[in-house]
Amino acid sequence: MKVDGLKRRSSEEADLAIRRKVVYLPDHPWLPHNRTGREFVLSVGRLYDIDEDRLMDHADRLLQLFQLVSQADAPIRSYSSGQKKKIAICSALATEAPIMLLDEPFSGGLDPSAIMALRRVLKRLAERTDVTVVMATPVPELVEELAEKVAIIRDGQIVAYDTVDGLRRLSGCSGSLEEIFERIMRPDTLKDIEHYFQRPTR
Amino acid sequence: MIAWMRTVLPSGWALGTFVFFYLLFDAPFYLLTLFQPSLLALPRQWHSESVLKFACAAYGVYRVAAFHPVFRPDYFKWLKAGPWNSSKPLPAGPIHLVWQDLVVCLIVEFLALRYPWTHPAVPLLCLLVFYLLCLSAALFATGQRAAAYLIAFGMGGVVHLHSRSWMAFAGGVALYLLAYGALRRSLARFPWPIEKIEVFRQKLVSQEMTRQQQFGWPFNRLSPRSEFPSISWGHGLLLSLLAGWWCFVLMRLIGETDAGVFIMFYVLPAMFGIGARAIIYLTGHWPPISFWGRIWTLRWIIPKYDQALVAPVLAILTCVFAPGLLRRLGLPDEASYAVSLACVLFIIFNVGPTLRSWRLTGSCRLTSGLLLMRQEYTEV
Repeated sequence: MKVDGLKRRSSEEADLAIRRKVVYLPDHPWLPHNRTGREFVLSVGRLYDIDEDRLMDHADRLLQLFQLVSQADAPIRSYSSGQKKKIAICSALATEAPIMLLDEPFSGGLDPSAIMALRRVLKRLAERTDVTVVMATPVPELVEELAEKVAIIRDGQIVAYDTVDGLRRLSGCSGSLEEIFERIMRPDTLKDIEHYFQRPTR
Repeated sequence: MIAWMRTVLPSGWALGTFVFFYLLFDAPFYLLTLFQPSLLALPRQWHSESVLKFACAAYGVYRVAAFHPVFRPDYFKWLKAGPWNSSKPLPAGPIHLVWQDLVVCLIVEFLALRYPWTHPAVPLLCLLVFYLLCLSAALFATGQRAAAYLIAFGMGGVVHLHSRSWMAFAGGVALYLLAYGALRRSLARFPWPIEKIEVFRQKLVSQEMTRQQQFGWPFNRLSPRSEFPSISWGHGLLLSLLAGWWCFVLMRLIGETDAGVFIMFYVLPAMFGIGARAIIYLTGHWPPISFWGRIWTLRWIIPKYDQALVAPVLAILTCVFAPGLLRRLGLPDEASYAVSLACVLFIIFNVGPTLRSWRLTGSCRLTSGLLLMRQEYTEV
């Protein structure tokens, strides 16, 4: 696998260079619960050698965006699960890494305003030419407005990889990405629904 | 007098604990011997002698650990921030032995006279051995590595000569003079290179640094500034020789190579070394496919992952077969185990791949690993 022309695990220098360019946010990150949210965001930013003044300013703006200002200086153990997810997202964004790998960033108890904020942030980042966002999500409507290209994975295999328009052509469906997704992933879904309702229920 | 002695004396509760245990073990036998003097002929019954030796060893450790800035992070920071230099006395008290220590030694000697079957130099030797071993660790951390190795090897020789107590004591004093010179040189270079002290402190003393470096999953594994502990070839060789030498010395000291001694001085250090290497390398770095996956896909060996297992496997084989082989070559038991332990640790320290190389170029699946078992992390 190559990242920005560098082959992964080909040499120590190549792998460290890739690490400097990539930030990965897993669906279930582990956070140190005795540190405050602000401390955690700042220390992750420092890992990526971000200028200290810029990092502090960026952390403040992120905490404000995700409505964590009042909680920022409390230990992470006192956060709700949604707030923990938010602080994990803040830490990934604070790295300013040009390549972001986000595994189900919208899951984990995010409140509607945080989902909206994250969508807007990712959309703005996706519009930039110097940032690549790779995001995994089971919710097609979240992808449609953000993604330049979409890969559909079934049973661990990529079954389609194209722009949304390309996927429309591939699936022969002119509807939303959700419908395209249904066609490609489960072409029998509509039939199954009909089958389900064939028997009268109470 | 008390104020003068306080310069080096441990806290009141430590002294009180010593007095309490000493009397606890000594008083009943003292009373018994009033009625039955023949009990005096049973030296093994006098547990207060062990308390005295233990106290001497603890005092030796205390005299370095409580006074050397390397072992006290806040003291180090405070000293560094001020105008202190090596021409001035250390504010928390001297690390080298002073007249007050002589008073402590005289008290120890006075108590030791109650055990005529034990050479009077033995308790002092306990004090000196632990003081110098602790000091050699501090000297190692502050850049006086040649002296640190010399003292650590030399103290093994001193213990080996324990049966000739005054000779051993004289050897200890000679090593002390060497240590004193190295200590003066290391203090003259204060403040020491911070990264060496930070690493030493982080590993041995302070939890604060490790707390500051907690990032959870995945940053602990994927950080671009990941640290990979390493040891140079020369230090690996010297440390393995040192471990082998002390294994030999301690086995000779006990004088019997029964199962307990064999396990304590050979099996445990070897297993600890092998286990530590395996844990350091493999924690959170699992094979790309499972064991059953290997069997099923006929990929029994995955070179880019399994290379990390070569050294532990080689070390286990050496640990099991080397002592027997060396005994067949005519080496005595203690020497066979000592050489085998040195070989095992040499493999652990020096056989590749290095942690950095394997972590960055090996083929492994990264996981949160032992974070799952640690209290200081929380899953989202």
